[in-house]
Amino acid sequence: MSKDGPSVPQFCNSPTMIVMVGLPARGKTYISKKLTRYLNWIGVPTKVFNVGQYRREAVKTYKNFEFFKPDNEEAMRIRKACASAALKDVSAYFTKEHGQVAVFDATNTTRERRAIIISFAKERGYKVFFVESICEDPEIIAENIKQVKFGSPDYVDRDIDEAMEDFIQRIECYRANYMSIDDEKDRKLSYIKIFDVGSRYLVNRVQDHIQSRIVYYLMNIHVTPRSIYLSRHGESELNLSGRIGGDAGLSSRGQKYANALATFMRGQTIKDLKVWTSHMKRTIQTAEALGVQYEQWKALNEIDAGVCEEMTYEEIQENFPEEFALRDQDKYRYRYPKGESYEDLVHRLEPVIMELERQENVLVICHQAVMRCLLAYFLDKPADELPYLRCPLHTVLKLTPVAYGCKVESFFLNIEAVNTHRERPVNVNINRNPEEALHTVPDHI
Amino acid sequence: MPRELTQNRIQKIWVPTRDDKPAPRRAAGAPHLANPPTVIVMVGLPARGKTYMSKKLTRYLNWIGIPTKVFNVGEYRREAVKNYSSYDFFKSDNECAVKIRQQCALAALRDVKSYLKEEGGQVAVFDATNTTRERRDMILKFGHENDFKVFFIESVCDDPNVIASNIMEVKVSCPDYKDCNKTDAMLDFQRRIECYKATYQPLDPDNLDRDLSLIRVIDVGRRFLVNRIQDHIQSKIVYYLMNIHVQPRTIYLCRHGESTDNLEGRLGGDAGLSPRGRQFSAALARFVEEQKLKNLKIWTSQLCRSIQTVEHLGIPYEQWKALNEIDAGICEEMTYDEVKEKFPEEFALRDEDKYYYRYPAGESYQDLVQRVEPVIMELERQENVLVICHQAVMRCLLAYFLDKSADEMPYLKCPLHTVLKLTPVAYGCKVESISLNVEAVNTHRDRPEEVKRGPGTLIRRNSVTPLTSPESNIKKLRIDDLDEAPIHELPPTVASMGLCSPSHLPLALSGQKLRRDSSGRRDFLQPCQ
Repeated sequence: MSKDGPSVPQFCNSPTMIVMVGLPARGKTYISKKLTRYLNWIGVPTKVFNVGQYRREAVKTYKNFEFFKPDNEEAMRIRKACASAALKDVSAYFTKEHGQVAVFDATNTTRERRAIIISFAKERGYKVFFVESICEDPEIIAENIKQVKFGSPDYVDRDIDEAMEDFIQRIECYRANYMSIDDEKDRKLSYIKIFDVGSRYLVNRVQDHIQSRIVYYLMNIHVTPRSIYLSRHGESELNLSGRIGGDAGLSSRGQKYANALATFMRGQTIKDLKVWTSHMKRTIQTAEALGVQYEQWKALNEIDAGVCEEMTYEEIQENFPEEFALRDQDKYRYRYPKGESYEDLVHRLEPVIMELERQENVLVICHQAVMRCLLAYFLDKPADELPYLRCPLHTVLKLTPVAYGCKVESFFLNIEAVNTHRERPVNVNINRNPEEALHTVPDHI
Repeated sequence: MPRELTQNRIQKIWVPTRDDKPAPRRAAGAPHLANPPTVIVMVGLPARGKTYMSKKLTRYLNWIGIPTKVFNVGEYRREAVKNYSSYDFFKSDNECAVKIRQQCALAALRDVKSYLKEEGGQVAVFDATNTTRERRDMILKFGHENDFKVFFIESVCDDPNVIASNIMEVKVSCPDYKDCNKTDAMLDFQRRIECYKATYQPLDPDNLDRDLSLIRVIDVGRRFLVNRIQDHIQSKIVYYLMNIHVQPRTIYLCRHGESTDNLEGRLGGDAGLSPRGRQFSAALARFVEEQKLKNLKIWTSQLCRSIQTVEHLGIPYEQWKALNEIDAGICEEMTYDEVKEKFPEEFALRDEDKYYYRYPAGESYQDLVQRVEPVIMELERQENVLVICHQAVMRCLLAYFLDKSADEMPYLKCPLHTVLKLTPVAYGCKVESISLNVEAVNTHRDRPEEVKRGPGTLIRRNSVTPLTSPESNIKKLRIDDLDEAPIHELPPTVASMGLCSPSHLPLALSGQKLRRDSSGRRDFLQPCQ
């Protein structure tokens, strides 16, 4: 029986192991990390187990590609032990840490290794889903190596050309024994094969909801360079008086920001910029200054504060002191009476994230709580940090994917605005006095 | 100088006022989907589920607001050749028939062009075997000339049980075989398939077709091959196809039991059940037990009245916030009379356009469809499910299953204390309405008679506006049009004949005994095309 659980039904019953398959530099770790970030954000506890890291722990210094030669017996033993250690940790993650999905990130290029994993999972009742990345485009491989391998601990003190040469030899070590998932022999397995960075996919036997979501996600992501700009609407009339929610228009400073934003975006000289707003007046007014077409998404509307809409924090403390304290106790899960929680917001925003993944250059003009949710997705912030991320007015955040993560640059456009960020007070007890509750409320009219 | 914004009175969407024409009713909540129109081209031998997928996909796309229509070449052929004689028509050496079939395909493509360019269509599903490379090249050329995107859906299946079952389900009762018994129909159809097999050139994504956008559905969804998805709409189509299945199952839709707010005629709110509502809850528990379903999933909203309804069943259930009743904003917990008194203009606007109308600080039916779409996707994945929800939400779900338009949706009848049992059958959905014999108030408001329809209540592009899958285009005998075909001229001999009936073939199959299915099954069905 579902108790006061989250607003999304729990779909995973057996834990799931996602098993990556592929030669080195095929994007396995990239996919592992991105998928893990996505699943955690939508509320499915997920963790990556990268066997290479275990190997680096076991063999303190990496010498050269000879370690990976298939006839290097001692190395083979170490590598096998590392894989086993990782599997043991997977099991602990599921049984002791309430994990739901474990991403087993290694080459897993032989049938033998995959058979071991399948049998491990079967014994324990875990579902297995394989993700194989296949690519033979030398340009893509070289680019991958440059992006992530040169910075790896294995090559930290190497000359770049030497490192490239060594890594290429490393790949050859695996190639000889590489057996791709066989569409005939392995027809009972659940898997997706990704060809040439998403040009083609082969999907076999999707078992359940979570695998279906994973497949949909993998089919929507891409690696084309692009930037995502996140900004709030310009300062609104209600912001000035310290009121939350509502559907007010821009203040005069807010209007100035809209113009400054237009200038800034023009300066970025982006081709094919898409602009998205919410359905609320203040974001649309901000977008209007840009003079380009924009799309309105109801899903980008600010968090619904229910009975507290258009109140100041002082009024909330006066009228609903208990609610106010409960919110401080668990800001992520707390739902305003007749309103929403941050958790509800994440669920509401998921189609926006999916479409952002499909798109290239996008400017999203939204609201404080919404921007925190989107930012948490891109920067892999957990639920307890999400509601306290700093998203000040009149500041554009530029996100650019790089290596395994996201570079973020912050641009304050030099137009003064009120501060709307309220830190968590020290005392969150429902019996606290008003001064303690209102201690961190920012100044307003 | 920033443009002034006004909030349009029905949808409550902010739009610039300065425009000369009235603000277009654009996408509320969803981005502009596919700009160039898309032609979806089905590929596969007969009885591989092409028409099943065509219709289902079309129903889904129309429900989420993308104007979509199926163009079934078989129907064009049935118009052109009034009496189907036998599988010989489909032999590849039957020159006369080959020409007719070619003309039918061209006529259908002409209608596709007209639908996408002149009638506001966004997606056209070209439902035919399209099993030869030559035919597909012609379609690609057509797409290219008209700036349409082309997306292929190939269905491949060699499991004889599945094929036989498909033939029994939809072929033996089709107009071609109306004068045959089942066995003869089955036999003829299998021979028909053989005619196609000889010239079947499957899509070749590894080589010849590597630049085409396509999905190959293998063995009824066990495996998929997806190549070069171009855009959002193709991505959604692929996701949808990967979630649907053909396992027999039943979906039960009902509302919560009567609530205390219902008794007072109040909208929205989060009240508990009335005594009669509790009786319904007990009756529902008995009903569910009698149905003897294996693995029934139960879903409720997060509102008290639906959860109280399910508590009696003693079975685990899932709560979905997405199933909550439509948010009536400032009108929450008012009676209709109070709304009429306090907000007379809003009250009138809602009757003017109930689908698009958004309560101030609340939602519209259009918003509901968007909100409820993940529920539909998960319903497609599941098997037996009981959904305990609310009046407006239930209307949205029902509109999806029964292919009802945005115009009809807000007026579908979903009374309290009544379970709707939906069973997929053939190309549609059988619906049985089961009242559990517990009295309740009536919460249904019919469309008012003298409502003045506002401007622009017609077709909207790219907005979340469910449309019913349009009826077939064919209004007149296609054979007259054959002479208009620009590319191929019919030889005079055929043009002068009413029907093509090669002398060596009988005009009808032997076994004239007229056998029809017992009509009971057809009561609630959508017409079988």
